[in-house]
Amino acid sequence: MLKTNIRWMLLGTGLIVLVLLVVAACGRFGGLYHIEPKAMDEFAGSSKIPLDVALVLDSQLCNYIYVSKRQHAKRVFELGETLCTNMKDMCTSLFRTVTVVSKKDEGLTGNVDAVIIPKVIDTSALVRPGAPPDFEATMIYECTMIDPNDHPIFVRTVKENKVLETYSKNSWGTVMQTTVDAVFSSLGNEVVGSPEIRKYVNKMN
Amino acid sequence: MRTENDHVWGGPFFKPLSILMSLVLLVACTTTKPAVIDSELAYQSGSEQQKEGLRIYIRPLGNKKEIKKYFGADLLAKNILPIFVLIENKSESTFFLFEPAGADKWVENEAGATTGKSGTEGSTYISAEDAKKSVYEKSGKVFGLDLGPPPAFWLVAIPFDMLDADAGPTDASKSLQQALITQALRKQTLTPGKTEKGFIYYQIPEDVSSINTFGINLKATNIETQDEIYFRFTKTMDQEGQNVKN
Repeated sequence: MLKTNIRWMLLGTGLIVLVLLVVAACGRFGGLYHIEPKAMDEFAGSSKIPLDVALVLDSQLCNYIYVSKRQHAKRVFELGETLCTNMKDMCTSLFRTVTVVSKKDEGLTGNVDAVIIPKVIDTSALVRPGAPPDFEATMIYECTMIDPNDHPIFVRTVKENKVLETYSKNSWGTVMQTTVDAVFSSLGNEVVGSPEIRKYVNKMN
Repeated sequence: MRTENDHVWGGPFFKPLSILMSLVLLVACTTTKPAVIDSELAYQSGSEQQKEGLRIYIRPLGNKKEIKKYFGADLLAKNILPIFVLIENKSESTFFLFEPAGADKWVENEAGATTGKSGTEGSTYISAEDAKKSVYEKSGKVFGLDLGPPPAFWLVAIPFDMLDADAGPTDASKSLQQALITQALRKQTLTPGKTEKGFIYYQIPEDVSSINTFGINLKATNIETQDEIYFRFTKTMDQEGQNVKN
């Protein structure tokens, strides 16, 4: 009888600890995560697209912050600075010249072949509890290239969804960093392989 | 032999507690990841139109079971009708930019059609971002448990910020919000031979019996000539079971 009770006592204590750990993993604790820029050297080898472009980096994008709230815990992801740095570095690697402007009109009136307008459509971070819990981050990022007459040349909406199945101190930050890095890898590859940009280049020349 | 210690720490206390904790562990904050869009959706009875080398296939998801598969929740109960769209650029050299059409554009381009709204009889197209906002459900949970209004002694035990009425969205709501965004049809230029698929969303009124038919309007722009091509589909909604007839 005593042995049975000790077993229940141990099981109960173990479960209390486990529940507390899982609840913690569910995300009771908030945090501030600064997402770092990505090295754009993967596009360094490719020949530059012979276009002079204006890149619109507005304050909305460069100050972009995503806040995720769950069970009163706030997680703040500082993304804007990195989104602008990555975009600028990527365009510099891919195009002949890049002029950074803060408004679309400034780009259209400038002496450029095309204007590039990036935009965050949505960001999401959530946890799917389990053992170990799944930390999931999603980013949807739209990139539009227009000609000086404001007609679209190229539009891509890149969607990246990454899952991290490990619980650590910085799981949220790690999964968001992986997602943002993947967004720019995908977008860069889309630009490099774009038949519509190639067609536009041929038309320009 | 039963001791006092057994009575306090043994079966009567820990047995039910262990069972309770196991249940908490199972139900506290579980969400299921919705299925990704698969080819199954494109090979069922839907509607199709072809214009200038562009093939559009649509299929409203009126079946609750199917909606749950792709979104993890019953969207119809939240007055959102998801419509699966597949676009195929079958032309050899034309590039298209594809997007859902607003009501005004449709009227402009379909002369004589006076009822040309994007959604007729009360149903209207909504962007994925608006659909996401409309399903937000705030959580009143503390440590994953919905405990209702806090009793006075909690003021001592719980940090003040946790008593804020909006604890953030529920896990289910957040999962649904993410599914609405990730499953949405993406705005893209469609190169020759390329296929794009995803969902667009229509807001339906709470009283579905007021809807008989509704229109779905989609627009493609030839990016070289800037010519706009419109695709219009009309669907009938089953008033009883909220099912859409394809």
